[in-house]
Amino acid sequence: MNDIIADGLAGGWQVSRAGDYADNSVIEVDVAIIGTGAGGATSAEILSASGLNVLMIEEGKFRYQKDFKLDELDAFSGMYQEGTGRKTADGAISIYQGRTVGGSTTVNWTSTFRTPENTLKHWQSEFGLKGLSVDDMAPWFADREKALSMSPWLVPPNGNNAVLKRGCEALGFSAKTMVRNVKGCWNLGYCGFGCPTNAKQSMLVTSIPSALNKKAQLLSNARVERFRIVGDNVEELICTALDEDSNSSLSKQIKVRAKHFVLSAGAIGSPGVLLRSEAPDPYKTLGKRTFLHPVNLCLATMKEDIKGFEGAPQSVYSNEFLWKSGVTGPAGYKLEVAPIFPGGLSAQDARYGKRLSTRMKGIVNTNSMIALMRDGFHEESQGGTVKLRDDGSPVLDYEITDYLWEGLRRAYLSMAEIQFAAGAKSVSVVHHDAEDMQSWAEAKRKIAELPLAPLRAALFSAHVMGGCGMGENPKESVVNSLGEHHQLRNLNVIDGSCFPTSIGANPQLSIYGLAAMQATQLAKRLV
Amino acid sequence: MQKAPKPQSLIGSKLNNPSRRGFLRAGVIGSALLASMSGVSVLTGCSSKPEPSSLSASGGTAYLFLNKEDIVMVAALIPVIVGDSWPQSESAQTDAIGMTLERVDRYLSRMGAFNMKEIRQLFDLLHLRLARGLAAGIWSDWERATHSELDDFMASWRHSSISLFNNAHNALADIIGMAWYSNPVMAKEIGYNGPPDYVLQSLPQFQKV
Repeated sequence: MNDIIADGLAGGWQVSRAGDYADNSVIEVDVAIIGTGAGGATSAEILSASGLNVLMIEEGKFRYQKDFKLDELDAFSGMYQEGTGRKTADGAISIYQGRTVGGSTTVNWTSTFRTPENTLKHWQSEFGLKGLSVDDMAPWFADREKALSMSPWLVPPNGNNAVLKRGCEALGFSAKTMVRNVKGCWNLGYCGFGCPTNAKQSMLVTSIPSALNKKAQLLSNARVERFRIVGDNVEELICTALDEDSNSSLSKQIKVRAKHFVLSAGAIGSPGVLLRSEAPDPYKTLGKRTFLHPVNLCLATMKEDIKGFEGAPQSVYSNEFLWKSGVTGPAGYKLEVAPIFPGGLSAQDARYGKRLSTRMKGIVNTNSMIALMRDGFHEESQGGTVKLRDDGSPVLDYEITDYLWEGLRRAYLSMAEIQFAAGAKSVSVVHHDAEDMQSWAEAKRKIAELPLAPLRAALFSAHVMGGCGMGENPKESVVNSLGEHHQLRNLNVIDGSCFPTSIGANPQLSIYGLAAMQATQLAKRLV
Repeated sequence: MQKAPKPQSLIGSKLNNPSRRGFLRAGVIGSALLASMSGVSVLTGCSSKPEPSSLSASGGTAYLFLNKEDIVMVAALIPVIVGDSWPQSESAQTDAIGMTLERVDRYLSRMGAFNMKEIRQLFDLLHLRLARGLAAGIWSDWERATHSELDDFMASWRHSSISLFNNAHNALADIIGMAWYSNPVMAKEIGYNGPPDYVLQSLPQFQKV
């Protein structure tokens, strides 16, 4: 089996770690890109192909196939932001974002959707975005779908996904087959650990190698502290070198000078860099309107073996409740399932004692259903705000409004109903105060009475969006429709932080498509 | 649960003051508040260094985060957290503690500077007899606390109306539960056998060089 990365490294790719440089080294390039996830890597591929000298900067470590040994603790602590300890400021929502070369694309579950038409139309009408209509974007999505081998998953769903399909079909709800970005997938189920076979067409094995083949450089283990800004110009950026494990800082700084900078550090990361840089923010829009697709969770005990750790983690979804009450009505949600591994299952609602061991002993029969709330489309869903802690690290302050709690309660009901319709013996809402429920009738009654509050309901997010929102009116946004910063002439923000609302679907293709369009326009401007 | 003194009495006045809210929301655990009220921030500077190797199961791997006092506390909490997964035989228990401490240490040491600082403050607070007694209801040393006292402590923090204690409860249960069940040895006990053999046999990263 060929490892595209090992081959590339042997063939002379320009890859280094920040610690390899002497203190106060200066790197000069045409374009410096901060972040190697969906936005940064797509930009790097396009900009380097147009002949520009590109540097990709990544805080995480350069892990690839040789490192993907399918160990849950190693993957979680080594490839996610804050070692999976990232949470909203009040601790109520756990946030899973990648922190490794390839960003979240290296650890995502391959679920692929174009930006929903409703979302693009809403952006046009509410935020005046230009060049982002359904027709404008279609060729960019098609381009990335082809480049990243995105196609419907024709293999039968694993047991976990089959529960969602069966329950929805029994109730007459929509349930569809996912599109995935894989090539020669072994259907193992370890997407979230770093794909062990290089089948997942993440940035790690597609756009990053493509950029490196065009003489781009990759600098890993480098934390971007701040830009040095003079007037409307970013002069340089300052990085701190991190140790080999990308854990603690070495006392070494590296400066990067470039004609143009592309900030692709993800929502939370990108606003964080701009806040630390004290970037111009005349209308106090920076870091605001950061969205999460807050996720709640129902676990069902099924009669049959589910083995939610085997097979493609997500292959079925239901949009039954996503737009049901209109784009700007009561909160809509998308239904999916979450893969089930022992460590993750044990940590979900921080159970302990017999309640925990009982759940864990039932892992093989457990179905894990999730609802992703579509936030940011309603006046009572304005998202959270990225702030800096005392040590300069960014944190998201996100209040769960009554509007969202109402949607979360409906989502618990939908999930429990589907799980019982699929034959569940019992269903458990993942919530500190919830008891197992034995029937749909009991679930209806108990979920209606469940106290919904932060730190009682266990909530999650793997989709952080916004914080550097796009808009044509600088008073309401941070960048324009091309990702160009309103106040800084040589800075683009190209990543999920540009989204003015959440997407209403797993966002990877939304980022790829938007980045492809924005980076192509940027290349025209710079070359 | 009855035995645990109400933690509200200790810091209620600060929590009722809305101007403290920002402070409370400072981070993952919010233990900055714990630190400020107990003077732990002063003590943090002199808390003991990570334990070199004596208790590490993996044959001499140095701990990166856990110090001697942490080890005693986490070891006391493990059986309470993992419930019926706690093994019967004494030798299995010793092995389990060793493996789990090593994994707790690995997990904590990669959580980033901010979280590590908060957890350090939480742990240091729980090493102070008076603070531990008032906040957690554990008046004896950790190693002498009974199973039911430790269980009461977890229950009181789980059900506390103070988000700080909920967060600290969640962190302890999350960290110890993750360290225990993500361990392939423990996972096998519950029916997760890890990647299939053909994967281990055919992928290059699993081959011995």
